[in-house]
Amino acid sequence: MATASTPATPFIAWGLLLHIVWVSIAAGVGLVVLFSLGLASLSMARGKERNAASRAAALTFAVVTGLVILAALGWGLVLIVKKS
Amino acid sequence: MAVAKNVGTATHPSNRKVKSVTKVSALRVFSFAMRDSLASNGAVHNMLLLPIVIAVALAFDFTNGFHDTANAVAPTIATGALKPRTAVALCSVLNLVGAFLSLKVAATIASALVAQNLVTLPVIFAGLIGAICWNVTTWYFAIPSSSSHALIGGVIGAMLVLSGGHSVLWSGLFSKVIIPAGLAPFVALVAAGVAVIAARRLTNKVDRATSTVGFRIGQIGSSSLLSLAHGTNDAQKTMGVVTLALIANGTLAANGATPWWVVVACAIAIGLGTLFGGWRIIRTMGKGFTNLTPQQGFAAQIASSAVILTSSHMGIPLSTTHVATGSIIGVGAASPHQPVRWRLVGNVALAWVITLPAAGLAGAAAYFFSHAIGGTFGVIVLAIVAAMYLAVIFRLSRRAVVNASNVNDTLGEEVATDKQPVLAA
Repeated sequence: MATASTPATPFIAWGLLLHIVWVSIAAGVGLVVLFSLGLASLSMARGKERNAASRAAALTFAVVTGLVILAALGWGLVLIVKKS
Repeated sequence: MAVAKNVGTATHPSNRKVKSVTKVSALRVFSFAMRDSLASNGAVHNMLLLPIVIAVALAFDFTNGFHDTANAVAPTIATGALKPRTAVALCSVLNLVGAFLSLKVAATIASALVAQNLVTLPVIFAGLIGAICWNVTTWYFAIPSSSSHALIGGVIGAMLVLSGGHSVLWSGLFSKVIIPAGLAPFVALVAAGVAVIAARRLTNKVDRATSTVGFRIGQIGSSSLLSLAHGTNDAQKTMGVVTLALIANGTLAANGATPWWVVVACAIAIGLGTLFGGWRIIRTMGKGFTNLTPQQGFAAQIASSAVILTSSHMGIPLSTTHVATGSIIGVGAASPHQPVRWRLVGNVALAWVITLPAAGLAGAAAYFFSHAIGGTFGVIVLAIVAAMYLAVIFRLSRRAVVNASNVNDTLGEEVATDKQPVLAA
């Protein structure tokens, strides 16, 4: 017997929970990786054994990672405020 | 009628004995009449009770702040990235700011855990008393337990005594509290563990001094982010409870939005509580589980922030304590030269498991007690008993003070020389 039923709300929203799990791990690991890359680049930029061009490139990379981190954090906070 | 009759007898001029007895019975009648009016007259009842419930909710928010300061600042203080008082002050300000960022968790607390039409003010009051008592007790024993679970457990315990199982929205409770409570520490542990391994590999050629200074600076940022995250998640829980109280009182319609003054009051309460600094728990989290390096502290705090902010965004009232502890254990477990003190982890995990039922029992007992006395009078008696209990705990805590000056002492040594009730193995 076919019945026209509305989609029932699941007892436990596994989809939502899994979404939180993967976003959390991706964001947490991603930010730490970016910061570590930036720090490593900054250390390279300060190394005296390298030539000026590679030091400038390393410094640029460090600045870019810093900006990406700030942008990611800003975007995340804007998302949170907007959705509320 | 009884009052009129007694008063009439009391005016009789010829019999002193009768006069004295009648004075006593008139007083008794007055006190019973007062109690009955407080219990049965809705207007008087709510006019007195609503401000009391809101005040106690804000008191809970204050305990939430000082109980959970450790979540955001313990690694920062333990690694010396910031001085203890500076770290706590920064955390306090950012908790205040974070409380204004989102209201999704408040909505969940107000609408998804208990049936709004069955909630009463005495139930919320009893739940809050149970949660405050549990929070202060665990603070005394320096256990980083969940304030959120204490709150939810307390309210649900009182609800169960009032109306039975049908008053609890079990789906919401499992989906938004119990399952996330089980998952969150493991997600944080994995995220922090993977993050610290990646950080170690990426910075293995960086000289030690640059790495230490770099990660310490990073920790100031990550601690700030975590404080903000804590404000977005935890301040909202009290906002949700106050909203529920306003709905129970008829001040707000069912599913009504949290008023702005509730947001402001809760933000200030959690900010002040954080400023008070829960030094005992800060020491357990910063020095108890493992000896953190700046790199580990940074990875743990970023992982915690990511988990908490994502769950706040989705409206899940996570325990920030579980997340922060999971992250610290994760970075310790992923670092072979920084052993984790698993015995302490086991004790804390046990405290986590019993928090929800214990706070539930405390809330249920509190409601039973106040209901047995009856009405607002019962609520006032319960408030006095709870205040006396809290005074005893604070007095006991003065025997071995933990503050900014000794927060970085090693736990094991402390236990050997002091009567400090800490959970160290």
